[in-house]
Amino acid sequence: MKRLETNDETITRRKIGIAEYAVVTDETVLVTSGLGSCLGIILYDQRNSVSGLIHVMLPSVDHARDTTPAKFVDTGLPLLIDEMVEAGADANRLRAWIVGGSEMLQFNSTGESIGSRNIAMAEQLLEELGIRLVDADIGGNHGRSLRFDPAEETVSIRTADDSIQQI
Amino acid sequence: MAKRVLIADDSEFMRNLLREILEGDFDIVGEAENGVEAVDLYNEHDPDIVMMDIVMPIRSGIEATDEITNENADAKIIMCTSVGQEEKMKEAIKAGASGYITKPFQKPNVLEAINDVIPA
Amino acid sequence: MKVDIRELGQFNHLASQGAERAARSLSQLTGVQMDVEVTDVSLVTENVLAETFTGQSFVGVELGLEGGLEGETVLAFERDRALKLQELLLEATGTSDELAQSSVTELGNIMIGGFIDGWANHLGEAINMTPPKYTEAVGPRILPDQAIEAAKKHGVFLFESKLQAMDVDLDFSIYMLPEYRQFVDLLSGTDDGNQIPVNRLNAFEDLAKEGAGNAAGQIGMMTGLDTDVDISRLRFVPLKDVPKQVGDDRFVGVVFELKGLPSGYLVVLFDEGSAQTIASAMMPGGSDEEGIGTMTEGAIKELGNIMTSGFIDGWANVLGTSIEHTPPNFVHDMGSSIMSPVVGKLGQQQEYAFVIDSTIDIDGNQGRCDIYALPNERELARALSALPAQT
Repeated sequence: MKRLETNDETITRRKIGIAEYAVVTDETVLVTSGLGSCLGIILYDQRNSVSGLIHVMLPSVDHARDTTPAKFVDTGLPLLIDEMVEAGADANRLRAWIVGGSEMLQFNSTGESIGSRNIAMAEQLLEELGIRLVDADIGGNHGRSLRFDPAEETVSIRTADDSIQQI
Repeated sequence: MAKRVLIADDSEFMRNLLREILEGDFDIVGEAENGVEAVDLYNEHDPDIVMMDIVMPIRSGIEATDEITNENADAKIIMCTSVGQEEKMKEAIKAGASGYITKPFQKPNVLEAINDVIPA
Repeated sequence: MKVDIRELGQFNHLASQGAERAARSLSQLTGVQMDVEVTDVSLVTENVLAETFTGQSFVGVELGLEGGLEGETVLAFERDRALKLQELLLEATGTSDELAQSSVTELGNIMIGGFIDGWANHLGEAINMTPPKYTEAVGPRILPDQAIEAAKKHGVFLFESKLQAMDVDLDFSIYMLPEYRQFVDLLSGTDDGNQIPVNRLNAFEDLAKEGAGNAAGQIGMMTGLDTDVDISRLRFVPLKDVPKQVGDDRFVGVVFELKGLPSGYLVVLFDEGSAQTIASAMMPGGSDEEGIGTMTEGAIKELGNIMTSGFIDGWANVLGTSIEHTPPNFVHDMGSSIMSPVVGKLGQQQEYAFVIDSTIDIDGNQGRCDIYALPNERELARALSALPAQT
């Protein structure tokens, strides 16, 4: 005897938060906000219609006490790719956009800001994995929210002054 | 001939919903509001299938299922409940339930569950 | 009785999952997609309960729990939201108006079931629910008596989930209060160090309130405006939910890094209007600066400095430790983006955070200030455990 539960099929827009990701295989719009030092990474396989978005917080799981994969660039990006492949994507056909990685705050702590380290890690990994970076809206010291529309293949980025950029 | 169904749920809203889902394809012989009524109506109408809620006043759906299946070994009872706990499922099986669906559910799930238990 | 932070984290996680399940059920029944924005656990005192619930009308679905988790619990909706949900529910299921109350009761039943299932499975023990009862009340009377009693004596755990509809203008909170004593027992975990005695948590909360009171007083002194602490609460939330809690609206404020025991961050935020009101009131001739410019920035930074000192000096005195803060980092951006680097830094060490979240009311609702204090979790536990036993 099995226990039956139902599924919901009326979603048109998916919003994710920090240390979360989503993979869709249709024209569902993917959205996330609160990108300060965090980085939003979008991957898209146009031929197989698979889109993915992950909102990562930190560059690397090394030296971290909590090892939730979706939190870090170096574990999150491979995780997103795996999930997309499982949903039917071809890893060789993936294209990427990256958004965020600002330096919102300045403290006396030495070394680069989290934002720049997130960007560096993402760029390095994408290159190692042979994934083409289509475009990026990164750096600075302002916050961003993003919206990826698979039907338009564009990423719209909104900042605090309500201006919108598209890449 | 249409299969005969007994509905047991203390929520009027739920009884209404199930009735709407089932009345096209099934013959609804009664609606019980608690476990005691469920047993009484079962004995009175001898339905082919019972859609039984678990949490009901006076007597729970599990107790009613237990009583009904003790006296009618081939009774077909499907638990329709908001409770999705593993432990509860085990209790229901032990009491004699043949199926288990969790709320909220839609028409296809209900029909599938019934079909699993008494193929058309 | 001690509270194990990991167990608290576990229960928060279960509550989040429960809220997600409840939101899915709700979505299905109403045909409107609902998302859980955030779920948190707070240890609340009678005052906070009063502040949270007073002045509003509620609709509730009340039922009893037996077995793995016990006690009376209520799922409460703000009344006008409940009516809206009811409308959607009746329309989506084609049910007649006379079943309106029954529909909400069943909705509550299904949603509580969703919460409880996860806990039951986690405990490996059944949790029985008694048949649900529909209730309506104004203010804290919507809560089960045991909750109010417990809140008076030692505080009570409050789970709050904020849900939002994607395409319809509807957002609301659902509240769950499990019975205190048993819940604390469940939280006691193993004796291996990451624990906080429950009564010390209360002490910390009192401290936080005092800190907020000082901060409010300082705003009052520097601006001549009437200030009052509206609400101050100790929440336990997944770090990653903190930005969501603050939201995407634009804020003006300052961020401080705290060094000492405990270290962490303190964030003071004003909406743009309040920032201008305050800055203007702080300057002898008022301010005629357009928007948020250098004068406003200067005023806010100075105010932030003073408020923060007041806030954490109280902590340091009671904890018997020393805590310092960095110079202010001025911010003017979307709230969630401002929080992003703060949770990033803390996120290297911890998954959850104790957040002391205080709202200060300025000039009778003309302005508002939100203070978020996020101490390092382990250091907080250590500092609190080192406190002498409560009298």
